Amino acid sequence: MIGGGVVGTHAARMAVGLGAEVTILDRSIRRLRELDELFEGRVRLPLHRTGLESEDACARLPPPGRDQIAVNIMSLSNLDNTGPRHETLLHYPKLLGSGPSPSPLWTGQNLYRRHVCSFVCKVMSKASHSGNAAFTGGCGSRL
Amino acid sequence: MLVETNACAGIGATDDNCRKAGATILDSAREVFASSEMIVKVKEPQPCEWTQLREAQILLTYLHLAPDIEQAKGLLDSGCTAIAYETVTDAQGGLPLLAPMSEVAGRLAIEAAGVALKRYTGGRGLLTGGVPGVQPPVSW
Repeated sequence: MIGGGVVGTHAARMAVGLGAEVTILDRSIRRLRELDELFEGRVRLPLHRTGLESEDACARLPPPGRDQIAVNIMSLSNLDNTGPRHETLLHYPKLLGSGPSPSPLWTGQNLYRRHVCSFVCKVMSKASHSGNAAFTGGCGSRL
Repeated sequence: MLVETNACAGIGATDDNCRKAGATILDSAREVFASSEMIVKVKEPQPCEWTQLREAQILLTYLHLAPDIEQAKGLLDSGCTAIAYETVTDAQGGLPLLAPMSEVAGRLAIEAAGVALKRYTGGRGLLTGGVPGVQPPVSW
């Protein structure tokens, strides 16, 4: 589901009822938290601001406001050796936002953010395919 | 309250049902447009209805004017006061008239997607929920 508003939420309810694997993308962490409560871990809720947009579109995104994502900017080299395992995220507090508050992410300064986002989504996708529901729910509520 | 004949047939309400509720049944939409101060519809007016609207008349309906410039021009030319359901907000800033449509749209989308996955409609021959022993459809 692209967007977790009224349409996306009701579509997700139907799809969940049919037994589908459901992922809801939304740019608002507050909304993702509400959806996490609503679906009780039955849908994937990766924080995903850029994954379906081109890099140009990504560069035009407005700086995050109060729904700013809780992911810190980090070097790609920190991700290179980690592999797509959920321990990577759980043991990397900065990536989960429990470190210092992220600085404002202005265009041009968030060079690595999209990599982190796509990485997170890729990891979550793989984790859920391996049946690791705890990771999915945990990440949805912690991010 | 003036109601076009058979206006409620789609939901199983007859003209008599409408009369019992206090409505006067007219033979055509044109007559309703001609003798009403406020027009209440669901779907946006058709081109032939733009010219029946007039100044001092109020139109209440779903409009979705953003992709429909002809409609916007037609309404402007009529001089009526048009209120789009989908823009009406409540005290909490929500969109109470848009929300039910969105609920329908979202739920219907999955049914439509399920049909589109079927082989006979040109799909890949998949079930929305998969079956035991088979990987479920993955869309991203």
